Amino acid sequence: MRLQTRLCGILLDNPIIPASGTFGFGYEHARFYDINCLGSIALKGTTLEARFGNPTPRIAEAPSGLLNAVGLQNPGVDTVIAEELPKLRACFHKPAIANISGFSEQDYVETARKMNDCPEIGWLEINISCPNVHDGGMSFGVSCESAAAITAAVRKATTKPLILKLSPNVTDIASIAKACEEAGADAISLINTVLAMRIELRTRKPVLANTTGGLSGPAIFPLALRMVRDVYRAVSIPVVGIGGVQSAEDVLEMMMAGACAVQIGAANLVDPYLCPKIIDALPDTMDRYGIATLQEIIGIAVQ
Amino acid sequence: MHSIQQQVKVLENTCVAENTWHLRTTSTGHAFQAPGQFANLQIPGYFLRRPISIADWNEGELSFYYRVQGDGTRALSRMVPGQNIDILVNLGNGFTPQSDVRPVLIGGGIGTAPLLGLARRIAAQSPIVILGFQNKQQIFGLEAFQKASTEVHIATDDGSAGTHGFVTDVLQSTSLQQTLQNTVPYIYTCGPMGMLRAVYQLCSMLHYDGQFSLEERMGCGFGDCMGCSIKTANGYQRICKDGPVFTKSQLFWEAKEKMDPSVLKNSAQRMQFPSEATVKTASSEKEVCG
Repeated sequence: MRLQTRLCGILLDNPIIPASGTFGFGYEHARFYDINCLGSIALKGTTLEARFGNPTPRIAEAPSGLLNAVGLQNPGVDTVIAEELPKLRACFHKPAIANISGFSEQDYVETARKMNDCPEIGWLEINISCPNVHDGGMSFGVSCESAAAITAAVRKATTKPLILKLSPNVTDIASIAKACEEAGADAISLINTVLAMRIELRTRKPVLANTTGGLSGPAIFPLALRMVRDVYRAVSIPVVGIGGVQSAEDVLEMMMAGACAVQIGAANLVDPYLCPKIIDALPDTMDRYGIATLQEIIGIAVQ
Repeated sequence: MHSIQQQVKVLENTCVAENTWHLRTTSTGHAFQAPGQFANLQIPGYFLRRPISIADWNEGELSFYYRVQGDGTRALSRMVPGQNIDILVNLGNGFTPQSDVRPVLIGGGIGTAPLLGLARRIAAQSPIVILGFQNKQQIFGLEAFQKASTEVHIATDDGSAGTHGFVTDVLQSTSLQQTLQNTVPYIYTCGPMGMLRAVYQLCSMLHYDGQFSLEERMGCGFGDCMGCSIKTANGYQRICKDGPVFTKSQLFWEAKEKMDPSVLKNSAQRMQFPSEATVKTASSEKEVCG
């Protein structure tokens, strides 16, 4: 009860959600622990067509984090619905968050439309960090206009709660969040990864085959926290905090900054058992800080 | 379900050859199921774990060999007996021993490490072992291989020990080809990518089947992040979970490269080829931290 929280009206047992791209479609992680302990799961980014993603190397280390340039490897929405979701349903008995990516408005709409009928899916999380192939490759999420356009288009395609996942590689994330809210988003999740790079000294070339990649992990936690606060103060819809969370204390900090739920990504890659450890640690950690219920601290530090 | 996370203690961490270290740790059982699997080691101060092939294991003890190539493995080499390491075990598929074959184990540099545990376990099949190193200062593990095999061959790039040349020179040598006549040779190999490709091409020419242990920079090391995916004949596979060992038929390197016998025989030409990746233990440092 103390750990309960709501996301678009749907009750979560706790605010802990593995982030998209770090937990596959969930069922493979069930060999480590009973994944029903989680609040929910954000599934691997799904696109209309199957994608292999970028050539390797796709991973580079960073101080207190990592870079990834995986490139949305996934089997395509039809296979996700036909094969991945049933495997998830067999071992996970709560609604999951589907994560959708696309390279044109039509991509997003068609994928959302197909996912709309899936009973396993409680929310559609729309990843607008993807480059728009029709717009010179600029990410949908870098301007209010394109972010709102995607939101409005997907809004028409689904009755499920719509979470817009925002990129931090922007000038003013709060205004983009507002634009998404006005266009029909039911919640905002942030942040996606931060555009970054590493160079291999021995070869004098970028480490990643893709040259650049997304930075995640504890290194970005203070940045994510600040952006969660900015967005929380700008919109009235729920905010999901993502970025470098690796402890129960981090979860509390994110919630005090305005998050009603928290996604854990990079830290999962280092400790596959981290999420249940955090869930177990939360009550005692809350006691230490005089917190009776999580819902009472949402946004409390940034009013 | 057994946890793959273990807190183990360092028993020994010593330099056994040029830039090559031997790490022995405790283990709480159920750590590994097959030779060629790997562990993912947490190094304090470094975010991503370092994937290191298991060289051998028995109840209560694990044995690794690794090369110091950067900050992370340098920090690992400074760990002393009694110190704790957080490791994830039982990762990867490992080698699958085949029956009714004459096993040929081919290792390059630090890639020889996972073949140690394999050699010990298939000693009854009289394995032939071919180990390639840059020079004699880098040779390690020889006694352990000699316990499991009476046919251990060394090749060094500079000729300072054994055959002057590459493991493929040894494999296609007249004497070894004679030994392998009237047998069904089966290759188990691990080493730098350049070596793996040369072995692959030679196997294609000689019609040998085998298993290849690959590697790539990894994120999680247990299949969740898709950081190490490669295309195989079976579709997209993760080196950390569906591999690191792949059968020859799963790899389609031939599509990219024409089979050119002169590539295999010309040592000097081959020495110009840069390795695209080095073995997991060596590159676990280099590849992960960039």
